[in-house]
Amino acid sequence: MKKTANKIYQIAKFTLLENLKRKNFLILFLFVIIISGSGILFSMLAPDKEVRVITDLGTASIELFAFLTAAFVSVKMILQEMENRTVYLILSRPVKRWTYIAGRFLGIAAQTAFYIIFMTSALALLLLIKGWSWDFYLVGISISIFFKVLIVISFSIMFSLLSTSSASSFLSIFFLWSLGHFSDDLLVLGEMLAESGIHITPLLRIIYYIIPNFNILNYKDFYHVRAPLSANFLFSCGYALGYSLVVLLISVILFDSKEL
Amino acid sequence: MTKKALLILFLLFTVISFNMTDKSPVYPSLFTKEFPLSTPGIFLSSTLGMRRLAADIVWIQSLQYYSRVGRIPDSTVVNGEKKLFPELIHYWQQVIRLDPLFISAHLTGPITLGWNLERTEEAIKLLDESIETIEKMNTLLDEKELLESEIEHLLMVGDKRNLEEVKWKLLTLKTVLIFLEEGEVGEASRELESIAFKENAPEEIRIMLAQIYQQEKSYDEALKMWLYINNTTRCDSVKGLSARKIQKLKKAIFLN
Repeated sequence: MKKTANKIYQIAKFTLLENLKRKNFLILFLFVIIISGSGILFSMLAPDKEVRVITDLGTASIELFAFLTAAFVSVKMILQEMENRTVYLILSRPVKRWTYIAGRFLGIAAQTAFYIIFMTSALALLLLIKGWSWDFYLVGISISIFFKVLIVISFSIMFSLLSTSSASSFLSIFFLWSLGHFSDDLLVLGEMLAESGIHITPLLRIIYYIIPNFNILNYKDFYHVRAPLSANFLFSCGYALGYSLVVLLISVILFDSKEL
Repeated sequence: MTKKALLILFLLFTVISFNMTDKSPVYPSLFTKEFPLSTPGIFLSSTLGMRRLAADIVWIQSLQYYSRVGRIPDSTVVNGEKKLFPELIHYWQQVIRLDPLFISAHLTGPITLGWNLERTEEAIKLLDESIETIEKMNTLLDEKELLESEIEHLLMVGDKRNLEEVKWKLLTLKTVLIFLEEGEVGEASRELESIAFKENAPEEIRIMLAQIYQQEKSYDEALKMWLYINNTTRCDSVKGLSARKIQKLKKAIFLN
């Protein structure tokens, strides 16, 4: 057990260091430029609502950057290793396939966590300069973003095992991301269509339950209504964690049956 | 076998967690609202879970649209009369429909329409929508069992108190606009005084009150109000405007 945990740790560490070498973190500078620029811009455009607008833009950017890096890195890394056959180097050692998947997942998750912490700190610093008084909700929003991205990483790994094209994998993940945020509207759409005589509500309801519901973790839009770090918050994070583990396990089953 | 057992276990965990979460939407669906200014960005933001940001963007667009600095104001002719900023009501409607809890938008919109542009009918239409929205949101938040367990959270307590207060502010503003329409300026200023010094009162309410004092030649009161605005504002143009008004009023008081 200890040996397996050590192997997962080594793969995760290797993934993290490999991504740092690839200089993906340069995207963080782009984030800093965007929020610094927005700080100057919104002080002119919306001086009364400066803090609100910077918080909204900042948290939305954190989420978008975290999503993009996690999706790109996961898809690219697995697909590249399959194409270059470098995956053999790892699997030829006494490493089980599921350990490889778990290690990759944890490595990318650690990298994303590091990015989110960096971006949240930069945003908090800018907000403090602008006169914001510290509130824990910013940490709550960042945690909720991290859990949303965990689902994205697990799906990215699964899609990269199913597909041979990084473009199609990425598009599938983006589509899922949108649909996951649109899930509440799906039910309303179903009711509206039913009023017009089109009865697809049961189908939409099935889709609603199957796709990941990103709305329940959308604390950046609802932080002033739903308190972070409450029981509901913990259940939402539990849902995201459970969902990622299910997808990850499906990926492991797929990877086991894949002929390399 | 172990993997399948684990899969079932994780699946169960996910289903239980999902059932325990509060899934009721906080905001009404965008499909249930009309958006007079067709902006594809709204739906894009909705699908990316960025509704607050979308409301912020439309808020800035509204301010830009209404800003007269260095531009010819947008206008149209209705019944032989020139109507300035005809789309302004739609901009404000768009903001409050995107984010029903955007309190400043609920208050600023009717003031710009009713006081600055003297279109009381449009202002009251917007106020009625705001009052209805705030009532609905208050009921929605009250009905959530989960929120009761979270009531101790500072943010939550703040918001729940605010919603009642916001409704009261909106009703006061509606009364003020009706008084002004009927020429009962004294009554209107008394109503405004009750909300102008509240922490969350928008600047427009204070400016409106200062202008009423000035119209009524209550120069001392007007000076006090402009001084208060000058000390509290974060907007450069309002700071400039209040400084000019203070100078003028000091002269007027000296001459009297």
